[in-house]
Amino acid sequence: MDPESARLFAKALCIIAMLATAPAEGYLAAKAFDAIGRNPKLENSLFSKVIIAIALVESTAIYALVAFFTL
Amino acid sequence: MFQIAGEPLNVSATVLGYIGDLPITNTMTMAMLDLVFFLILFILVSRFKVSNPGKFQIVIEQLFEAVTNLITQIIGNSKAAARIVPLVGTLVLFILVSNLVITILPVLTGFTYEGEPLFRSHTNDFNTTVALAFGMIVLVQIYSIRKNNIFKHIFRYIQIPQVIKGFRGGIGSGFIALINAFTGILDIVSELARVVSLSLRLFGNMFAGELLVGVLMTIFALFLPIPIILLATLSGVIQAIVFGSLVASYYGGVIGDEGNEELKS
Repeated sequence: MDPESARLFAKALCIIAMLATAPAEGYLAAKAFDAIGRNPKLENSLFSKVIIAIALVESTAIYALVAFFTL
Repeated sequence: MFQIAGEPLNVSATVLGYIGDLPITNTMTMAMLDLVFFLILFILVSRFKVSNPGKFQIVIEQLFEAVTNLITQIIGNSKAAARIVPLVGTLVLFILVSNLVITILPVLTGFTYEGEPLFRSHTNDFNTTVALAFGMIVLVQIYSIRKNNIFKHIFRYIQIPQVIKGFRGGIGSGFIALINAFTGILDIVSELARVVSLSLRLFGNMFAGELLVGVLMTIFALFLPIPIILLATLSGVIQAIVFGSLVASYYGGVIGDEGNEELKS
């Protein structure tokens, strides 16, 4: 295998590694909506925490994206 | 039609010139512009009146209240939060402005110097984010050394006296102490991982946003980049908040349960 096609395979693997954030963030959003439904008064307090949690979960996908661009 | 050609964004910033041996990149010029903006902002803030606040003063004070509440929620007690609010608030403000300037003033991308764009978003350069993250982690270590003395700080990572004390209490507790010692050594690695993750998260969000907009402009530049620009702006705001709150939580982990008897929320 010549290095150029190996590099393209590596890039594809980097993009596949971002696959897992979709169910993770969907689950997080579903649990957030459950919690808001149980206790709607806490909505303001929960909103910023949920956004921060989503940003933290997203960070693995961002690492994979940066690795993709530096290959 | 409706396609704007351009070369894809490079990870490292383009060098515009040299002062002696120091390369001046286009993110540095943007940083100078940010500093001018901050100077004007701080001069305006220093003229705030106590009794008859104007609209601008009320907005700034509400922002300050919001940041203080966020940090108090993360750390837990409000005395330690008041100590860290100046640092984390400045950090959040700095990263927020750096992320949003190129979206609020897109006219800045029009200035070119010998064909290279003169301004590029300041957090779009990996040097900035690594410097910020590294500085913050070193600062948290210094806080920890100042709060406990240096031996207690080192023995949190290399847990030799705890292992000796555990083995003196019996074989079972000795092995538990060994497992804790292994976790302590892993904590050293996790400090380095914190630097990498903090810097890469901020840089990756900013870089991916601009790159995606550039690529979409070569496909269909009329209305297609608008949702991506909105998403990148939103993620710029969120990443600033996340950076600040992560630094606050690292600080909160270092000070331990100080002042648990004065739990105010």
